[in-house]
Amino acid sequence: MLSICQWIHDTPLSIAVRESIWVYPILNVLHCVGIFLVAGTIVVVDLRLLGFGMRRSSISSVINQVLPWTLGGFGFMFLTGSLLAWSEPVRLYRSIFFPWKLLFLALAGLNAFFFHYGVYRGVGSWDTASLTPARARLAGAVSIVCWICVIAAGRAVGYEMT
Amino acid sequence: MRPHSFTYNFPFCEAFEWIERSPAGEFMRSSRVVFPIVESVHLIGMALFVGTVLLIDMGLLGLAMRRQPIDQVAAALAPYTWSGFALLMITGPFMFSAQAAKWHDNPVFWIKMMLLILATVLQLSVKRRISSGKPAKMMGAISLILWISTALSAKMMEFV
Repeated sequence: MLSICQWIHDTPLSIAVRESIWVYPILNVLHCVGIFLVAGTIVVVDLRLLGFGMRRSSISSVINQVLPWTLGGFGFMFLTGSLLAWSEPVRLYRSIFFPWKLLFLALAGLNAFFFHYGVYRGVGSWDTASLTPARARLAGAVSIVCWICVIAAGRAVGYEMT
Repeated sequence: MRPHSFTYNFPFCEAFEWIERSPAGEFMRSSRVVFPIVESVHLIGMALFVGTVLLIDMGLLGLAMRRQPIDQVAAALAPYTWSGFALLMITGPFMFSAQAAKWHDNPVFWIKMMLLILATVLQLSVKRRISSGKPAKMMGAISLILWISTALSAKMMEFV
């Protein structure tokens, strides 16, 4: 694993991003904006599932309208994040928080997957209900916690300078 | 935290130093984990705020949320937008107090503050009254540029 990271570290793309004055900070900012879009839209859906706000809109209409932006933001976040990771793989390999960030990201993804193909399939029966099923509320709560952890761990990675 | 010497004199110097020495500043520097934790809360507020504002701006531009009038969407999202804003406005000054004197000499900090004030004034005034037509598109574009520039300069402050 370390040798793979070392190899990535030595690729021209990695060196170029790492040593440039502007590319790294700009990628960093864009990555943050991507996360805000993804986490912001997801948390809105989570809070709706938990019963906070937007009670007049049905759940499926909230999700359908927000989803393209969540997915688009995710693609953007993933692309900029991959480039950032590509530029300093050895540091991330030694990082304590980076694996936690990936873990919570994976958990958030799994949670969304199980929600979407699980309880959300029967959304028709609780689309406008003021109290959503327990499984939907659980999914909302897990999602919020996961995204808070992703953001906090991601920020912590920035402080672990070697 | 290392002491900071000002490169030039400015009326804010003393005020900024006072803020840095205040209990808030001391609290922020009291342990290595305080700042990152407060900053994480700041970022979570930003996710709520920027996430919903971007959606509404895209809506004003006619790119998102086409199935319902954008002023309704904005009204429905408002509690999230302003909860996020509250988190930002509480944590921001604390983060600032940790190294107030350092920010004083950072030009990007001042750019950020001006962008922030402009964008906030716009958000609270004209933007609430416009929901359709060409002015809405203009408004969406301006707001989008202002908020992204604010976030951009906030991040850039660290690198200057």
